[in-house]
Amino acid sequence: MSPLNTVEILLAEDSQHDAELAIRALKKHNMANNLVHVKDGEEALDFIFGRGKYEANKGNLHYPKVILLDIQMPKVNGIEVLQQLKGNPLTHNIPVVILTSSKEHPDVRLCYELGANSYIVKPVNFEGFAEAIRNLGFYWLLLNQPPD
Amino acid sequence: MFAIPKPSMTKFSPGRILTIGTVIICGTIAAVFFISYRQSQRVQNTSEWVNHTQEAIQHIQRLVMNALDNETGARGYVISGKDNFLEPLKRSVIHFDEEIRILDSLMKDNPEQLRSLDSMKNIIGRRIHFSDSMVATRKLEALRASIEMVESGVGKRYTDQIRELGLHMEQVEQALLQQRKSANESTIRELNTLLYTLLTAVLLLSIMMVRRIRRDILQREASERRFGALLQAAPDATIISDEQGKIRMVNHQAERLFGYNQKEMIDQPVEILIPASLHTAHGHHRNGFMKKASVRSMGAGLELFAVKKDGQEFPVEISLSPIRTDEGLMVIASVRDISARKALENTLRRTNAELEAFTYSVSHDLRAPLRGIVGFTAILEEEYGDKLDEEGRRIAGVIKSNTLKMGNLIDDLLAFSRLGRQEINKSQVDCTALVKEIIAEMSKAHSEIIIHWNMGILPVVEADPTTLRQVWINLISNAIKYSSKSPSPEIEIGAKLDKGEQIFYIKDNGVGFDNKYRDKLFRVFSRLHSEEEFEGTGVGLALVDKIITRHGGRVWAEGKTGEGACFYFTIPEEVDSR
Repeated sequence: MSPLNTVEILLAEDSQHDAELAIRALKKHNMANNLVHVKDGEEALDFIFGRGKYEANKGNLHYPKVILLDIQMPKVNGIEVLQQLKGNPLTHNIPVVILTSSKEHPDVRLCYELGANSYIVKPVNFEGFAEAIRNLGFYWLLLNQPPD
Repeated sequence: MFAIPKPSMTKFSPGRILTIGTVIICGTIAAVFFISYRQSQRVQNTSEWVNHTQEAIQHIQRLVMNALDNETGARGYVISGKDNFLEPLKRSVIHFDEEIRILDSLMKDNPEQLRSLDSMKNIIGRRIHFSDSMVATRKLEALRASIEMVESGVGKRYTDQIRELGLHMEQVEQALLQQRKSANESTIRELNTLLYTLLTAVLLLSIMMVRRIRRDILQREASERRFGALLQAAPDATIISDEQGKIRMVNHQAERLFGYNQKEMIDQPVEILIPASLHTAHGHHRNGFMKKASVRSMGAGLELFAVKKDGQEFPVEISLSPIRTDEGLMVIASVRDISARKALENTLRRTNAELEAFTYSVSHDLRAPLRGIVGFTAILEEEYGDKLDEEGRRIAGVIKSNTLKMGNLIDDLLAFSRLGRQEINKSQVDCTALVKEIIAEMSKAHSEIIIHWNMGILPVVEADPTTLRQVWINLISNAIKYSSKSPSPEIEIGAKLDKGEQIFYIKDNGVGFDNKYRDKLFRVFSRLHSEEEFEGTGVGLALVDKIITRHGGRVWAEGKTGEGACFYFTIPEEVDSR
C-alpha cells in the first residue's frame, strides 16, 4: 500500500472485479500509484476520518485528492458516505465522483443534490469504462486544484 | 316533492291556465257587477218616472178641480149674492197660478205637454175672466143679467174644456210613463240575458279549469311517482339538491351509504355529507356549477371524499347533472363509494413501484457481471493475446460481442419500461427539420451504405419532442438496416392527409416481411428475422408502438417478403394530455 500521506485516489467499491477493472484502467494511464481501495462505506469513512482499523492515522490525516464512490455498497452505502463528507467542513471540499450502473438511476440526481462533483456510468464496454475513468482521473488529479 | 316539467305535454302549463282562467273569471264578475248596477239604475229610473207621472197627474187633476171650484164659486155668488162664495173664487185663482207653475216645471222637457199647458193657461184665463165678469155683473145688482150669463153655458163650456184638456194631458202623461216603463223593462230584460250568459260562461269555464287542473295534478302525481321510482331504482346513491345547496330528495342507496335516514337529510345543506375541511371549497364549486350547469363528473382528477353520519370519511366518485324544475334549478348527484377501487389502485401502485424497483435492480445486477465478462475478456485479449491462437482470439471476440449484445438488450428493456412512466410534454415539433437532422446523423454513422433518400415536406405536429425523435430514429434505422442489403437502397419518407388524419409513413425497398406477421412486429422481443440476418433486440418497434399510443395515435405496417416494407403512424392533432 502506498504511503497514506500521498494518497491521491480513494476508490470505494464493493465489487472486487469492478475495482480491479477500474484500477487497471487507471494504472494504464499512470494514475493508480497512490490509490487506496476500500470495500464498503464504513471502511471509506474510517479511512478518511482515521477511525476503526485506520485509527493509527488519526494524528496524521491526509485527505485524498479525489474519491471514486460506488453507490451500492454493503453496511454504509455511497449516499450516506457522500452525506457525511459533504456535511463535514473538513471534508466537504474533497471532489467526489459517483460510480453508477445506470445514468437513469434516481440516486444519481440525489447525489448531485447532496454535492457530488461528477459521476461515471460503469458501461458494460470495458474500453468505454477505461476511457471515462481516465478522463475523470485526469481532470480531478491534474487540472482541478483543490483549495488548501 | 317537485315535478319535472314534461316538454311535450301541452303548450299551456297548469299555472298559465290558472292565470288566464282567473283573469277571465274576474273580468266576468266585474261585468256582472256593472250590469247589476245598470239594472238597479234602470229600476230606480222607472220608479222616478212613476212618481213624476203621478205627481203630474195629481196636479192636472187639482187644476181641473180648481176650475170646478172657480165655476161653483161664481155661480154660488150669482145665485145667493153672499160674499162667502167669493172666498173660494179668490182661492181658486191663487191655486191656478200655483198649479200652473208646478206643472210648468214638471213638464219643461216635454214640448207637447207644454203646448197643452199653454192652451190650458189660455182657457183658465178665460174661465177666470168669465167668472170675474159674472161676479162684477151681480155686484152691479144686475141679477138677471148675471143669471143669464150662467144660463148661457159659456162658463160651463170653459170648465168642460179644462176637464177635457186635463184628461188629455193625463192620458199623454200615462202614455209617456208606459213608454218609459217598457223601454226600461226591455233594457232590464236584455241586461238579464247578458247576465245569465256571462254567469253560464263563467260556470262552464270554471268547470273546464277544475277538470284541467285536476288532470294536470294527476299527471304530475304520476310523473312524481315515476320519478320517485326511477330515483329509488338508481344503482348509485342519489342526492338531489336545490340551488341553495339544500337536500331535497334522496334514495335508499343514499340512506344506506351515508347512514342517515331520509328525514334527517331532507332540507339539510349538502355539506353534512362532506368532510368539514372541504366545506368552503365545496361552496365555491357549487356556485360555479350553478352558474354553468352541465352534466359532468365532479372534481375531475381530484380525490373526493364524503362523510357518513358516524363521521367516517370515504373516497367517492360523483357525477353531477342539472335539472330544471318548476321549483328552479336542481342538481342530481350520483355518489359512488370507491373505497374498494381506491384500495385496488393503491395495491396496483405499490405493485408498479415494486416492479420499477425490480427493473432497476435487475438492470444493475445484470450489468455488473456483464462488465466483468467484457472487461476481463478485453484484458485477456490485450495482455494474453499473443499466447492465444487465432481460434482462441475469435472465441474471446464472440464472448465480448455476445455480452455487449446482452448489455444492449438490458438498456433497451430499461428504456422501454422507463417510457411507461415518463411524462409526455407536448410542444410544436417541426418533423421536416427533425427527420433531416436524423437522416444526416444516420448517414454519417452508416457511411458505408449509399441510400437514395426521397423525402417530402412533413407537417408540424403537437408532440413530445424527445420521444417523437426516438420514434423517427427507430423507424429510420430500421429502414436502413433492412434495406442495407438491397442493390440500391431507397427510403421514402412522407405525410398524407386521410379523412382528416395526418398519417406519416416511411417506406423502404429492403427485405420486407410476410404481411401475415405484421401484428407481431410491434411486440417486445418479437422479431421476423434471425439475429444472424439482421442484428437487433426486438425492442425498437415495441418502443415506437408505445410512444405513438401514448400520443393517442396509431401505428401499423405493410410489407411483402423481398419487396420492402412501409410503416405508418398517426399523431392526432388534439389529444387530451391527461
